[in-house]
Amino acid sequence: MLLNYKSLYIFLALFIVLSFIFTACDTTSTDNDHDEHADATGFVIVLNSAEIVRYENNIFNWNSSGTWDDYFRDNIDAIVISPDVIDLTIENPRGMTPSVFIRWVDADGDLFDLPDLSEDEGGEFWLDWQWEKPNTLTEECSDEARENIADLNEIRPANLEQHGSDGQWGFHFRADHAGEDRIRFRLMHGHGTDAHADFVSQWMNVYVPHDDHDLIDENGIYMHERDKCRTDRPRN
Amino acid sequence: MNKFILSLIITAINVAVVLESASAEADFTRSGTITGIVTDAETGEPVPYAYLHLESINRTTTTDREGRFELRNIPEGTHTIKIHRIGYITQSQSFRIEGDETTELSFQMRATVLSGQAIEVLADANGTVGSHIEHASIHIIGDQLRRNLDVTLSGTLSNQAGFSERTMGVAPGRPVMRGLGDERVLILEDGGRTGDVSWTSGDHSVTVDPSAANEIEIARGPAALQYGSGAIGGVINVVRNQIPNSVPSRITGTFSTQGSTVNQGLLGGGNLTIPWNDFVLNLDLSGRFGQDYSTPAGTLSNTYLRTANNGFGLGYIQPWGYAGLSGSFYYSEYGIPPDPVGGHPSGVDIEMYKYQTEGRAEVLIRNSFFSLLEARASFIRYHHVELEAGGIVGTQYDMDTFTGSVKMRNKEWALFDEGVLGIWGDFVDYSVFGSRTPNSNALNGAIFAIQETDIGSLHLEVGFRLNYSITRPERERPNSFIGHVRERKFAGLESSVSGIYNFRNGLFLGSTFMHSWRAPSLEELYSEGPHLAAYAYEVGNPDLDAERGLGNELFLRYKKDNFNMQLAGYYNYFNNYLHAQDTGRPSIPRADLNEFQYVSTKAAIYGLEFTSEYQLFQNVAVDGNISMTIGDRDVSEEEKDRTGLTKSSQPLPMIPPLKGTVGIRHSLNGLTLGGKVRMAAKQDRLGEFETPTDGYFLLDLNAQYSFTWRDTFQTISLNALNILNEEYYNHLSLIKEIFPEPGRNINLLYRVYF
Repeated sequence: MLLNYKSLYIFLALFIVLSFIFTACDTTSTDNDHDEHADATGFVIVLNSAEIVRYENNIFNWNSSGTWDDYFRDNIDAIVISPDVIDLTIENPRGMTPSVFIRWVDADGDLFDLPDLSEDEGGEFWLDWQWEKPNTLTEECSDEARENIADLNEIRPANLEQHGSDGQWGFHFRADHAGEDRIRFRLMHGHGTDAHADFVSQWMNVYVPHDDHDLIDENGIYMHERDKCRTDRPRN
Repeated sequence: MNKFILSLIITAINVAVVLESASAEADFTRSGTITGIVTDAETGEPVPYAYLHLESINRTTTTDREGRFELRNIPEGTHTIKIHRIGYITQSQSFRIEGDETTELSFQMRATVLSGQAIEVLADANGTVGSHIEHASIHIIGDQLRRNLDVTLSGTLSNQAGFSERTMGVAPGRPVMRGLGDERVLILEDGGRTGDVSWTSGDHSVTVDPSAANEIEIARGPAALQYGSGAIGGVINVVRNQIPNSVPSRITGTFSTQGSTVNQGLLGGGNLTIPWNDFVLNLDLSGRFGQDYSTPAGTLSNTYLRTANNGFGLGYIQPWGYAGLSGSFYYSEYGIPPDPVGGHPSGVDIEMYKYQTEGRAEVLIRNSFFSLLEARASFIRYHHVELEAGGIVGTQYDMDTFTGSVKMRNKEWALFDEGVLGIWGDFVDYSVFGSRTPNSNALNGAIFAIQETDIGSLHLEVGFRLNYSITRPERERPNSFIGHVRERKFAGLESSVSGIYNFRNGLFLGSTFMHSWRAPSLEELYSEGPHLAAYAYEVGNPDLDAERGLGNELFLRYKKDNFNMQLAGYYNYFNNYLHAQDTGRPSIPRADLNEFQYVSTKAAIYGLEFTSEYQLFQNVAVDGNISMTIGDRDVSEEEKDRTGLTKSSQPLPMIPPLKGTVGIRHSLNGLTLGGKVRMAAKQDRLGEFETPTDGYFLLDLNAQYSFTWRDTFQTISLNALNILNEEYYNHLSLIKEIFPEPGRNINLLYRVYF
């Protein structure tokens, strides 16, 4: 006999015991952080504590507070960035909306806020957004782009700016030229290689009308970037 | 404690115990050596690199350039050796070893132009202990493997009857057998689990490089039960022999390189086997890279691939058996093509690595009931991260898998001639980052028995497997969005019976019955969150029950010297077929991704396949196969009310169309020239949110040349795939709406054996 029963039993017993010892070890290897905070299922954009837009259960509810008619126009299913809502003057040519804020909606429909802390201050959450059309402002201002103004339709008509005073959750809409685009908001969690989206909204329509204004040219281009290309294209 | 170190310790202790036990009590003095030569029966020339398998003790070797072979440390007794080489008719021969003697054997092999892909016995459990699946229904080996070698395992198998390839780009392919995929097809490497998550989603690649395979074996029925539960589709075993089980007479190895025009791809790899007394060291190195694939419609962006696969194996071979250790590291980076509709215009990048260690021992036991014991333990750490443009983490998977098994081959008892008894267990620790899916683990155990007997001309096999599984989330969540997340326990019995009647005129009639069972996976139970590369928001179902299936296959096989054929029909019924169903609605937390809800439903998958090979002239053979698969699921009254469906059944998604191949080849003096047409019919039996896929005809050409030069045996294989550069679409591609399959590809493989 090459191997007797005694050795066989010893071997099997050791094998099974050691295997159970091993499998009893706690081997969880990655922290899962999603039980530590409320999960966003929607958002609201507020100005002066009143809601401009409420997004919940994949549905947009425009002017949900009933106090921001200027951000909307009849038969247009979009938030409208126009001279009605932006400060578009020679003295203030950047032409942005006042600072608006985003707040989050939980699964029960209740609003909640996340800490307004930057990464340097230990903040884990931050706001990100994506536009559907590319931002080619530089090209827009180039001679080539100006010669083919029809291509403006393919260029992002508005932008979103976030300044230091806005904190993590405030921002401004800025109009660049007449047109339509879509934006979606993302609630980001973590930084660097750990950064990931906890929440991504549906695309939200943004509309920049071609309104008549001294600082909007005949092509619908807003003239607020005086220190860039538009300074050489004053509207007469 | 670090799991890697712990598993090494466990493995080492196990191996040490075996060695100590054996060395203390084994009779080393009664072992011999067999040597011999394999020659061509017509020319008398030596046949190099023939594959020899000593089934009774599971030892393998290959002949050298002179056609000679040697197997040492063969215990005294009667053994049967099988010699296999593509281009020749397989032979087997019994012989007797007397202690301390060298036995000289010689074999004359008869050449055939037939590839011999039909295997004599289906799902035979004989010799199932060990890393090989004996007498599996399909072997892909030698020039057949080189002719079909693709970037992925699924691509390599896709021209076999009944096989299709689920893809998402080029790198993440996974085989689908007779319409069954995911966990219903078990993929093994040297008989062990791969430890990856390729079954869970279409964007996950199989962490097995087919270029490292010595052969690929496929089994169904009772023999499959020893490897895992629920594999009603079958078991695919990629044989690398990383842990050596025999001592070669000298240092041997291979070197391979392959280039592909379709993606400017390059593969380089090598293997070295170094004997030292009774020890054998095996070293493997390989690397592959490729750029974006070209298609007739343009470049398929973000389909690059970079893979490295390195490993070692150390074997200690003795008359009582062998023991060994292995370690390997697999690294891969690949791209998932962009889906502008799905909201990822730049695609997704995936980085993964896997390291694995394994210990294995096979020990001969001579008593009245058992003849051989195999014990193995392995640890696999798998990491996989999916990155959006800009490097933002979409989803990250980490999985540790510890597997242990003990199998014993038994001798004749009661009605049975022989068989295998075994115990198997694994522990899976699973975590997902970037989603709400809780960290979780699963403890699975099973005992199994597979027995076989011959009653006159009837060969019978029976097998059963009793499974027990505990799945456990990190903590219970009664009010989770997906339901009550909690610990679940499952127990179930699987069984299978296979019978083959030999009419003794080359005709065989066989049938296999299988009752499968599998516990829901951790992903199916607990998933809750985005799966970026799959463009899905996965919604698990903590209430799912185990999947049960009933499968039956009936086949007729005819084998003669110049003609092989097999006609098979199969029918698989599932009482609760588990799958992720596209709901067609965006998820609420991740509106950029549709919800894919894990559901169970009654389903049936059935079909026919025919494969044949005929020797037209002495050096000319034609072959072909055709496969038809149909999949349907029941539609409940509730679903009818909710969706407006009116019929009581609905086609399952991801079912391959009618497809087949026809080929011809001419072989003479080491040179083989051939051509093949691949074809598929239009698929318009569609599941939810599927769109029709047009049929196609593709033309492939290939040439192979083998020759000896100095002390080496060399092969060159040139394949021209889709030579007419047809634009075609794979119905099982998850991105077929956007991108066609690769275009014309000139592929050159050079391999040298020394």
